[in-house]
Amino acid sequence: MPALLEVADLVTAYGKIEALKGVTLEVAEGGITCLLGPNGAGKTTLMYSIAGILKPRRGSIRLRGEELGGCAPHEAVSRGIALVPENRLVFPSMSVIDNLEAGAYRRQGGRTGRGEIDADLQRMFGRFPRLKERSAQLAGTLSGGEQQMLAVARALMSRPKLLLMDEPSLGLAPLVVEEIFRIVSELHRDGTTVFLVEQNAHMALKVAQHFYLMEQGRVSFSGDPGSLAEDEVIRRAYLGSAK
Amino acid sequence: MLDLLQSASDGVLYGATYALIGIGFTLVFGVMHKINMAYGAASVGGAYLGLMVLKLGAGLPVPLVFFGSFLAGGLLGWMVYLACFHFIPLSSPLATLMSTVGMLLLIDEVIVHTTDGMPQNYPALFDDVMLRFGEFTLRGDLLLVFLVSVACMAGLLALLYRTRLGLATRAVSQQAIAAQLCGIRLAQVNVTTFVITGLLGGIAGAMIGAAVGTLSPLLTTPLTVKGLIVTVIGGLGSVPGAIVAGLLVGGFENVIQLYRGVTERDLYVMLLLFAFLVFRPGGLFAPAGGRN
Ligand SMILES: Nc1ncnc2c1ncn2[C@@H]1O[C@H](COP(=O)(O)OP(=O)(O)OP(=O)(O)O)[C@@H](O)[C@H]1O
Ligand SMILES: [Mg+2]
Repeated sequence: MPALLEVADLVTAYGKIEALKGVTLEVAEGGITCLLGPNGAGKTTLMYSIAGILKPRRGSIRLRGEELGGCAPHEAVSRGIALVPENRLVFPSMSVIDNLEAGAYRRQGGRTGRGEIDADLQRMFGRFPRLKERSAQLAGTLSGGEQQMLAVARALMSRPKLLLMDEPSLGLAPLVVEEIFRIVSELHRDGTTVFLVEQNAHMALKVAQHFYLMEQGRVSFSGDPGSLAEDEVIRRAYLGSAK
Repeated sequence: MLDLLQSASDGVLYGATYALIGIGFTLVFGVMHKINMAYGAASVGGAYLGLMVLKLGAGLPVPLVFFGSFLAGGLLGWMVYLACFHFIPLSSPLATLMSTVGMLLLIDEVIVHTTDGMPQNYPALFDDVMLRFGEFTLRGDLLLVFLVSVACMAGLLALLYRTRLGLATRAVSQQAIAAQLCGIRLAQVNVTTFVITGLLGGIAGAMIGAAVGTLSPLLTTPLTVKGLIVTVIGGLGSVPGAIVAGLLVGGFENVIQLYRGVTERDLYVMLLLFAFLVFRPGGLFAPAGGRN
């Protein structure tokens, strides 16, 4: 499969501290790619760099061969990148429906008709029935799992080519985690490319076709699920069991 | 008893201008987490600029003065943004505070110098119209001030809750990173917030001019202080809070003035603020933090 996203030698720093020290990886079009790594490895920094929230110091980020590195977040959204951020970051005092409207912000008032956005809203409510029941409720009053669903739906409202997800299972009960992963594989089946940051390697193994491991700002492993399970160190750290 | 009711209602009507100023402070704070200290001065400045309409020719209808103040307020809001925020690093909390204090002094000085420090008459829409209900009266000019202010607030709320721009503004003030991830441009929301609050400030300045009958540079400091008090009592970042607090402070200070005289009035307003800071530091309507 061709690469939808290619990151090459990316360096992103907070002041003097380089959190990414030359990251190179690719995300295959139409696939699910998973990024593993310990706390503080730089996974969130990478996600924010791709989404344009953080400005990389060096290196390149290409989407279908077009350079993105250093572009502003609204341009990244326009080019088809959406991020479900770490900790969900819903708009707490806005209703569920307004959160979703905000997700479609760049499509509103432009060439996209209102009807198309309304159709997408209905599609989200079909995929996330809990959100439909709570469409008028303030997002800050939703449960953690519902907020995660809302964050995913909000990101999808921009109709992304590439969906970035930063630890969507963080702090959720096992049943909710399963639901999130069921949605990830549904999205994949519908043709969305997903780049997923995940600590829960057991779950990720069920859905992802390619894995990267990041440690201290560098990619230290790249391989398919089979070779991930073969790797003694990774198995002990992420799968928590001997063979 | 009637006295009490009368001064409370006069105060509440006038308090609508405090509500407008409080909204201006609170919106900018919500969006940028910054205090624009120049806001009260820019609002009075907008009212002064509106007076220039009268200089263009006598016989022009008075509402044009109000409209001129409205537009001039928006222009000043934009200029304050450029001078005090656009080129200054937003990461330093003190830098923009000081730049806006500087702007407050600058606007004050410009007003003093161009008018030789003399108060200017501000036109009234109509003279001494009174609505009488037995002993109780509603002053026509105050009623006008109230109605115009309420209309502006309604317009603002419609903008915030019914338009794409309002959606972006609310999103930025609740979760700036997520707003950017939705494709909302922070700089654009910041500058439009300054223009919109400037427009409101221009109207507030005009309404104060219309209610008091004159404009004077002495208005800016009390207006700034009242605006900040209203913002804190309402809850930083809360528009409905600023509205309620503005009317409350207006009514409260006028009742105090009735019983304790004008010299003690602001002392009691400060006590009210103090009481809020101690017993309800988040204000009347502290914006919901949500769970994240
Ligand atoms: N705003 C910041 N200022 C300074 N340093 C930061 C900032 N954000 C992150 N860092 C540092 O950058 C490094 C990478 O952080 P990052 O959040 O990308 O890690 P992560 O892999 O997402 O970790 P986690 O699994 O805990 O979410 C860490 O050492 C962190 O301390
Ligand atoms: Mg992280």
